[in-house]
Amino acid sequence: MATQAHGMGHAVKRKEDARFIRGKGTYIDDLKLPEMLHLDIVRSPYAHARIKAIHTAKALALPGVLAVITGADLDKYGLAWMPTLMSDRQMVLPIDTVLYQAQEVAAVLAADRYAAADGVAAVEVEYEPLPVVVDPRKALEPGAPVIRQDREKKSNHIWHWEVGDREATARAFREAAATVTQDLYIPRIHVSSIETCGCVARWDPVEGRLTLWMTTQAPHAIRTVVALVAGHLGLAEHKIRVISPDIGGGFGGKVPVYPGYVLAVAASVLTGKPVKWIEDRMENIQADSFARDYHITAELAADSAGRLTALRVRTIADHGAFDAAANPSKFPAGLFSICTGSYDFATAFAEVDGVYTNKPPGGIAYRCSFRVTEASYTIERMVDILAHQLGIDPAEFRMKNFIRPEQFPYRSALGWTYDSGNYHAALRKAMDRIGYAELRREQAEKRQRGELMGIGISSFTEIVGAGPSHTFDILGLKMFDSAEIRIHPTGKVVARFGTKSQGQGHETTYAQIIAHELGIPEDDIVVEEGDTDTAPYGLGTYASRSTPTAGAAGAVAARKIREKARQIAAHLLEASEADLEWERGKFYVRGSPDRAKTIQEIAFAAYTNHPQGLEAGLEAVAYYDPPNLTFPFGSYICVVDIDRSTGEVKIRRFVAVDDCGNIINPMIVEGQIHGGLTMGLAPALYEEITYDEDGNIRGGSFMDYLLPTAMETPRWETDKTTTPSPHHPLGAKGVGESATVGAPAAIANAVVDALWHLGVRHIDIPITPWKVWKVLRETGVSG
Amino acid sequence: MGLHFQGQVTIGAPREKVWAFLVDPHAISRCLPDVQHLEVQEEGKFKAVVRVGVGFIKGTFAFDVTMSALEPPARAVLSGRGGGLGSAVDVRSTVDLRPDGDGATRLEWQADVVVSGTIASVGARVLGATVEKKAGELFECLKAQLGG
Repeated sequence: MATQAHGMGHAVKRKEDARFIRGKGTYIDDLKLPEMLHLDIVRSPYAHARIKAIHTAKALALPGVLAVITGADLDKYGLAWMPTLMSDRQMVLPIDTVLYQAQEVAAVLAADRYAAADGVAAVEVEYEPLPVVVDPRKALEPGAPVIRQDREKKSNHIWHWEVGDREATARAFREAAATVTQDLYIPRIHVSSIETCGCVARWDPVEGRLTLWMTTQAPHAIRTVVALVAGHLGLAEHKIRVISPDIGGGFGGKVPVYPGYVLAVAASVLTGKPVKWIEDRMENIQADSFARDYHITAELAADSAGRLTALRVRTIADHGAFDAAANPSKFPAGLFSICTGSYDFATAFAEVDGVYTNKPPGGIAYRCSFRVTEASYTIERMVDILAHQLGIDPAEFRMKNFIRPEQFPYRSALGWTYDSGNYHAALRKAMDRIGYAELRREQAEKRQRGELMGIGISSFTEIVGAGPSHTFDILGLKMFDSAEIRIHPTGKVVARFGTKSQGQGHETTYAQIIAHELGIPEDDIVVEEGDTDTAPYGLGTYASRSTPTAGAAGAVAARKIREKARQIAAHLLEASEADLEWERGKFYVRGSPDRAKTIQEIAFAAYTNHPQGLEAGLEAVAYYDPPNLTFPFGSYICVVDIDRSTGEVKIRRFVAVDDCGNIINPMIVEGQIHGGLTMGLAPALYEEITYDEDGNIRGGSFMDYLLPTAMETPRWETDKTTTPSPHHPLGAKGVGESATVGAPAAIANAVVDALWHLGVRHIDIPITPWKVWKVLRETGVSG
Repeated sequence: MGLHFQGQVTIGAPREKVWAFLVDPHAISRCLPDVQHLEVQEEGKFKAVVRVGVGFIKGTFAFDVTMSALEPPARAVLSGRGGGLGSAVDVRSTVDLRPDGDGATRLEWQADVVVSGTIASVGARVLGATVEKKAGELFECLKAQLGG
């Protein structure tokens, strides 16, 4: 038998790729059930309008069209609104007013997908346009149209959130030798996963049971939410089964509940037949949760020795028409308070105001822990601006201000306890790898010749693995996660987890964790996720939380099994448990290595010859409540050359040194970093969704929303340092999102570094050739 | 998004003849580009189904059009509201006719068009050029129908 247990640190080939690379994955749209109906959605062309009438007769007259569902229909069942994760509510279908373009207005149910689309085109809606507000700053002005007339508070202001010491920070700014202020806009973008969202809902009227196949990153939480929302209609949690099949990318976009899901469930209950709803690409980009859209004003203060003393950040957060952000309940601005980054600040203060506008709702992650890219980009841009202003090399300035290795665990000015870090080592490694000193010499020479070259650094600190139950919950559900491991008599394993892979490779990494702990070959372990009828309860996969929470649960459950195996081994070897030693895959009697029982022999005995007084079987469940978050970090250095005549930014080199603690599978980690860097490049240079003054979406299709492809993506050079997490059972930290968080600032810093001598302090991302060209024209560089 | 267009054309026909053509839905619809179906309701009001193609978005729009004869035979206002393809279009257009010697007529027109929805978001960059092209076709047709 060729199989062996590899465990942690091995580049085990991904088990799931056997089906993915053959095109044999099973995604939502692959599911075809007998008698299945199709649902399609009528959407609003207006960003704000009163609905005067919805005429359905022409649609209903089309062959194959069975029903048109409106807000009034849903309202009869109390389903016209649904709760969001952030104590707000969202329209499933509007009763009389639409609040953003592409909002759901009605649903057409038909016998096939084509008839559904024809039906959508035939539904006639009479609208009376209303005044539109797309800029959150204008939405806060007196006299601005109040978007949410359903709320008691007649204002577009949703909430105010602040953290830190306002007074001490103000004092530090008064006493500072140097300060810098900069406005930074982090634009609205969209995750654009290759697979759009969708579901198949099947209501079984005989059993009174709902099965919902759904593109969700958090199947258990969805089941509970469905039970809570539709409980009054008789849907109880034990009669709801949520199945999340293979998912073609999530990145946070498949955490929220969208109206289409609710409509499919309602339509299935109405008809007693399975109902499929699959978004098209434009619906996905135009209506599903956006990310970011933060208008930031940041300030930094330093003393005369060039040491940072204080940070102050004020942010207007555009949440669109409903606050449907996907954050832990106590964190309306996510984990934005990680904005002190990798630096040792005595004091800091951050405040965020959430605002309604006539834009789609959202506020999801775009492949980062909650609002961490916003925080990291802010501090990394600001540190660079201040370093340049003080005339200190940005690398030297960072080294001077980093939290020092001996300060960990480090309590940040905004209240986090960083578990471990060695920021100097990561930056030094990146500088050595890219040849930093030589690049600076080259840059100086080129500047003499008028050539534009820039070097940008980003030394980010991530905060992932939400989270400890004392602080982290979603709708009251604590953010632990879980694992259940069952060893069969022949030593083969099925292991189930409360998370849900969307491409991360859980089937491999979780198997490696179990292999590491029990010595059972990865090939003998099947990992299952995503079926609420079989998997233990967990809060799902996002915010790089799978390894920190469910991965830890897997290690803890495996260790429970090992302790029971010890008892069985003692029985089989007729030895005292205390005399047994564990070597990966077997117990042996201390001093007599020949007297040993393998884990497979022990598993067989657990079902055929278990000791009296001990339960038969070999399985365990663990619910892991992490004591703290984990804080991965890294240092990225980017080198750009800018074309003086076109403004085009070319990334010549990009070195990424990541530290995610102990690594389970280095190949998967490297893949995550490559993908993450490309998704960091995207908002830095390409992606943005803007709106015209009437609320029309600019960037609502792949014609206008520029996803980088392999053609735009530079060669990534990756490296690592290893600083284990002191509290995680495996010393691991999580890595899926580090590169997305760290990369944008490195690229932006490189561009501004190339232009600083021309008087350029900042260019908002995405840094398009047009923006750079304008700057070059203004500074007289480009004719 | 709001768009403004304007233009002028000289037609080799007297003003009364141009006017009569303009305010007769059956006549003018022969020159409205890409009309698939026309239904005259009462005087000055008609419904038109128009084939639309902006960039890769292609399909039909249903328009409700009202032609108001403000100052016969000098000024008419054409307003329309239509929708389709996940989009909505509001048009308000003014046409001024002036005698231009020798039995010819000077036609000056301007139009304010407000576009919402898919066509505005996806077609914004090509919308202006598309509308101008269609307006050109309309007036070329007028000239041809009324004698150059």
